Formats: sequence, C-alpha cells, structure tokens
Amino acid sequence: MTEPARLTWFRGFSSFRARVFWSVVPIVVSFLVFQGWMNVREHRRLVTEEFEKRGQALASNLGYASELGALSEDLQLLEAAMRGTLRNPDVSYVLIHSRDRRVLARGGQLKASEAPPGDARGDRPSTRQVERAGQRFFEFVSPIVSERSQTPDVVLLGPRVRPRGAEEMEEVIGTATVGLSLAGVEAQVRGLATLWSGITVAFLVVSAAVLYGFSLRITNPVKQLTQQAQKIATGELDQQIAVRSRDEIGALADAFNHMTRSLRVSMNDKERALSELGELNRTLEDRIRQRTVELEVRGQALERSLTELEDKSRQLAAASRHKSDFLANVSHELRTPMNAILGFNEMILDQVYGEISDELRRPLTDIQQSGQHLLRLISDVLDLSKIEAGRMDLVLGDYAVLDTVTAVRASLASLAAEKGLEFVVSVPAEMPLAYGDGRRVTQCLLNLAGNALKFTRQGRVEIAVDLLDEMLRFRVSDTGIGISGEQIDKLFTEFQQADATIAREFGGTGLGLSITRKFVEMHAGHVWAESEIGKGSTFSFSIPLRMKGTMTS
Amino acid sequence: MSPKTILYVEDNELNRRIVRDLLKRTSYRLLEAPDGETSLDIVRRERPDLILMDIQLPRLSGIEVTRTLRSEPITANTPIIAITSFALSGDEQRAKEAGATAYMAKPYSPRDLLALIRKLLPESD
Repeated sequence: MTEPARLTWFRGFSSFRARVFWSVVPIVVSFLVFQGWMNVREHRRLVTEEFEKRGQALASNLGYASELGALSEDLQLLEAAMRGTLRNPDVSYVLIHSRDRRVLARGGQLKASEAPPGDARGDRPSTRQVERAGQRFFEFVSPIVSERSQTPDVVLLGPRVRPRGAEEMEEVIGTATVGLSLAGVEAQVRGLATLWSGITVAFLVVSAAVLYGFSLRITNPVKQLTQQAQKIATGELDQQIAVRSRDEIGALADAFNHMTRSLRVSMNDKERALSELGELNRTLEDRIRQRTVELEVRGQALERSLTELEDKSRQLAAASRHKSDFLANVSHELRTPMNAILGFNEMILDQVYGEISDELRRPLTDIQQSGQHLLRLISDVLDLSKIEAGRMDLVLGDYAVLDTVTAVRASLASLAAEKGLEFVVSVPAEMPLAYGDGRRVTQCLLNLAGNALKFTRQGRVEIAVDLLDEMLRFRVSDTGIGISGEQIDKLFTEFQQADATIAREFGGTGLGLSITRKFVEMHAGHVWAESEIGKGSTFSFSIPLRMKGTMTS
Repeated sequence: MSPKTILYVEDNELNRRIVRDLLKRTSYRLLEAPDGETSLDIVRRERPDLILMDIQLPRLSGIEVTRTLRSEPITANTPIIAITSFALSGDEQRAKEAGATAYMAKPYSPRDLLALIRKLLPESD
C-alpha cells in the first residue's frame, strides 16, 4: 500500500462522516439482524405449531373416518376414508395399521416396501419427525377407536371425550398415521428469512444513504470551512460559504462568512494602508532624491560661490596686503629723503656749515616745521594702513602711566610755550603699573593733546588721569573753539574733520582721531568727546588698567 | 692721543653725508660701510670705538650684523647705536634684543644724534 493511499484510508476512518457512519451502522445492522432472527424464529414457531395442530386434526379425523374400515378390514372403505385426507396438499402419505401393527392400507407418496409397521404405543395420539427416502416428514399418529367394548379404566382422549363413568366401552382397533412434508413449512420460513434479509439490506442501504446525505450536510460546510480557512491562510479572502441550513453549521458558516468579510475589510484596509504607505514611501523617496539633487546642485553652486568668494577674499586680502606693503614701502622711501631734508636743514640752522643771517633763519625754521608735519602725516597714514590690513600688533608689557603723560608733555611743551598756552598734567601720586602697549597709549594721548593745543588760541590745555574700578581714564580738556554734537559723531571716522575750513586754518588730516580710536579699541577700551561751541572740548578714553591677552585690530 | 673712531653702516649716500658733515667739526674719525658684509671686514680691521648701525640694510640686515658683532669678543662691548627706520615699527625692540646699546629713530635730528654719540663716547678722555 502506498503512503498517500494509507493516509486516505486513515482519514476515511478518522473523518467525522466515517465516525458517524461507523457508530450508527453496527447498531442498525445488529438491530435488524436481531429483529429478523426473532421474527423468523417466532414465525417458524407459529407455523410449526399450526402445522402440528393441522396434522393432529388430520390424523384424528382419519382415525374416525377409518373406524369402520379398520373393523372390517375393508380396503375400499379405508381408501375412501384416506382419499379425503390425501386431498390436503401438505399430506405426503397416510397409513392405516391394525391393532397388531399390520399395514391395512396406505396412500400417497409411499411405496409398499417403505411402509413401516404400526406404532407400539398407538393407543395415544403422538407426533414425531421421521426421515424417509432422504426426506424429513412430520408424522402424526392417532388411534382408531371402536365403541363396541367398554373398559372403565381406559383413559379416553381426543375430541370424542365422554364423561367419566359412561356405559359405552371404547376399544383401540388400529392407528391412523398422516405424514406431512416439512418442505412447505421450511420453504415458507426460508421465504420469510429471505424477505427479512432483503428488508434488512434495503433498510441498511437506505439508512446508509440517509446517513451519508445527512453527514454530507454537516461535513460539506465543515469541509468548505476548512478549505476556506486554508484559502484565508494563503490570503484568498474573496470567497463565501453558501449557507443552506439554519442550524449550528449554518450559524458557524454565517459567523465564518462574517469573519471573512471583516477580515477582508480589515485586510483591504491594511492593504490600502500598506499601498498608501508604499506610495508615500515612493513619493518620499522621490522627493528626497529630488531634494538631494536640488541640494547637490545648490551645494555645488554654493561651493562655487564660496570658492569664488574665497578667491575674492584672498584677492582682497592680497590687495589690502599689497596696499599696506606699498604704503609701508612708500613710507620708508619717503623717510629717507625726509631724513636728508630735515637733517641738512637742521644742520644749516645749527650753523654746521657756517653762520646764517636772521633773514635766512625764518624760512629755514618753516622748512623744518613743515617737514616735521609731513613726517607725522606719513606716520599716521602708515599706522592706519597697518591697522586696516590687520597687521598692527600691540606690543604688550608693563608701563607706568606717569611716563606716558610725561613723554607727551615733553614733546608738546615747546608748542604750548610758543602759543602762550597753559599746559598742565595731573596724575594721581600712587598709580599701579599698567599692562598694555605703553607706546601706543602715549601716541593716543599725544594725538588728543596735540589737537587740543592746535585748536586752542588762548587759555589752557589739561591732561588728567584717574583710576576707577580697574579702568584708566585719560582726559584731555581745552578752552578751544569747541565742536557741535553732530560733528562729534563724525570725528572718529577716518579722514573726518569737523570742518574743511578748520582744516585749512589749523591743519591736520583727521587721521589722528581714527588711529586713537583703533588703538583704544585694541586695548578693549572706548573713546568719547564732550564739547561746547566757543567754550572748549574734552576728549577722553578709558582702557583697562591691565588688559588681557594680545589683541590685533 | 688718537682720535676716537666711529663706523657708520648705511647704504644711502645722502644719509652718510649728513653724519660726515655733522662729525666734520668734531675730533671723531669716521669710517663708512655701505652694507653689512663690508662693515664686518672694517670692524675686524679697524676696531672702531662706536658703531652707528642702520637697521634696514641690503642683504645682511643691521639686526643680524649687530648680533654677529655682539658674539665676537673684540666687539662684544663696543657701543652700537641702532638707526631704526621708524620709531613705532618695533625695530628698536628687535635692535635692543640683538644687543644694540641705544637707538635713534629715522628721521633723526643730527643735533640729538651728536648728543647721543658724545654721551656714549666722549670726544676726549
């Protein structure tokens, strides 16, 4: 047996239908068989009983009918008596025996040689089964009674029963035997058994068919459910089970269909959501790709711009450096002839080359002063260009505030004296050492004080220093022409002077204030001015007493 | 008594003439060198009493020459006045570090320069 066949066979036994079948059929079969057996048995009993009764009646009747023939032993009378009995289809043969058991007459299907002698106990009716010539027969024996003699102690039986004590005497003169063939009875019983068998088989077939149909009605939806479940398991949700019945199976199928529908709805929702999600994903990916491309393009453009900017910046820085270098060079180149001019002029004034007249001394002094002025301008231009190029570094170190003020006073004292101006300085007696670029601080103070002297015709110029909260404040006040508020705002911008006419009158380029502001800011300080037209001005700057770190412009 | 010898190292002829004219009326003997290498030769040969050293020189700079002179025993203590190109350029700081005795910012006043020379090297003992 192959494996799949065995499985089918096994499933055939274990399936619901098979279980129903195999649990019902044996009961039905055993019931039918039992019923059939009982029926046949009872029927046989009844038939046999009736058969026996009839046989006894026939034998008894024959006994009466043969009374005269037996008495006279007249064969004709006996044959006439037998004829009536033999007409009965069940009767196979008849026998008449005498009292001394001789065969008086015989009839039916019995040969003379086969005729047995009479029964020894022939005075009573009896029944027995015998076999003659291979056939089974029921033999009924009845005594033949004569009323001639009376014997009081004889027990009389049979239909002609007389009351006890009757005068008449009865005497058994022979026996009448009737043989009935069992074939009829047996055929009847066989027919009945056959009929019952037929009924049983038919009933079995019908009930099997009904069972099968019934089980189909149960198992088919179950099978469908199973297949449906398998299909759902593989993802097919579009099928419904046809609901035919309103029983539990129908309810189950209903529930199943409902579940499938819900599942389909939710699966559809899920699929829709999934497809939407997928779509979204794709869109997102597209968008990201697109955005990435855009960004790349922009990035490249930006990079290009950046590169260009860097180039420009480098070019600008280089240009600025070149300008600064150029100015430094020019400044240096200018310094050499200036040195010669001022040097020779001073030596002439100092009469190194001989005596000079007073007329000559005046213009020679003018040359000297203009030369000094020109030199200062050149220095300012150089400083500013260095600051702008970012090449101006502070040289940091400890310095005494008093030294800066003293240096400024020393270099400007002669100018103040020339203009007849009072020039005073005030520094607190105990001033701690400051930290910064002392020479640049001096330069700032020199610029402010120089301007103050320049723009003051009469009165005084004062330099005052004080220390408050670790901040140094330098103040230069004068009694000069003063400047307006608007002009003050412009003052510290490069190349600005309050008024072009003032520039003509007092000279200067305005570079001094710009340079001062830059140096103060490099010291992390600030510069400011207060003024009143006609009354004078005060220029101040404040820087930390001790600045931190190195700062470049 | 021999005159005190001063060596002026300067590439510019005009500037050299200023000092030449300035010292004409003094007793100082002036030697001139147009560049650093020449100055080193003259120093070893003439052993000047004072050296005026311009910082901005072609090829070998005044700073390097000063450093070299200071490392040699003959000139280790010779007064050297550095002539810096500009008072605020930081040259004087470097000159001092290299071993200059004093500095003078260009353009200098001949009057002031002579005063400084006389201070460091008196004309007569």
